[in-house]
Amino acid sequence: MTVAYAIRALLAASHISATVNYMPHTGTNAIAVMDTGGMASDYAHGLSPAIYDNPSFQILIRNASKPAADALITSILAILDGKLNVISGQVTFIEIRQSTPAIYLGRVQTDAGETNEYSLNFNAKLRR
Amino acid sequence: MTVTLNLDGTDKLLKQFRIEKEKISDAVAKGMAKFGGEIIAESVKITPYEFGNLRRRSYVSGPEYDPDKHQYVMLVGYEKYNENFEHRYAVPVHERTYARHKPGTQAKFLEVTVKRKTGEYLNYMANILEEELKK
Repeated sequence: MTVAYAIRALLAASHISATVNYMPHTGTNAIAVMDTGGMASDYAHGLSPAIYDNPSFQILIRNASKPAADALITSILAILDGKLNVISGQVTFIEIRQSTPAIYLGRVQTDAGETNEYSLNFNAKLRR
Repeated sequence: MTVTLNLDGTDKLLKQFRIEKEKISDAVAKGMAKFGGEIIAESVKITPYEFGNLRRRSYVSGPEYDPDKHQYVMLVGYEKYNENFEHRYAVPVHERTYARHKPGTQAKFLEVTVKRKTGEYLNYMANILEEELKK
């Protein structure tokens, strides 16, 4: 199960719009939620629900302004990091947790000019 | 309802652990080094390349014993922190999941490998320990 769409919905509820599994190269500001696999699922035989998935996802942020990017990162972490029992559509997240601090990837060229790029990585646990 | 478990011979088991402590420590260190080597070997296969520099920048270091936490730490990665590189690019290549790479290579080349091999670790170490303790 991929979770990027569910995460995008959580961000959208806080007025942060993002693309899913795609980073647009138009414009200097963009946010993309990318599915990045995860760990093997846990099987609780004899219990219900019986399967717990452990997906991971990444949020890539582009912003021409470093302070603006920093504020955005803070907002995204406030929405997602350390959250328990979060429902987004059909998906019930038991836990969402940041797996690495925000990583600055340097500057990239877009059709609207150079911009800054950051990577945030998360692990999640959810009931299937 | 109460269930009582009796384990006999634990004192002999602990005594044996104390005798074999050095052997167990050495076996754990050896196992971790070998497993770390396997992770980096698998990771390099899917590491993107233009001229092969990034693959050559892979490293395995340790294990180092942390006496405060009483644990061994093994490092595997690319562009070791204390080595000089004119341009470091392992992290952006690893993280830019939108980038297109040659077939068979990909971003997240280390993360994907670690996640895939994590499930093998316990059995791997159990086998190493069994081999080493038989010697």
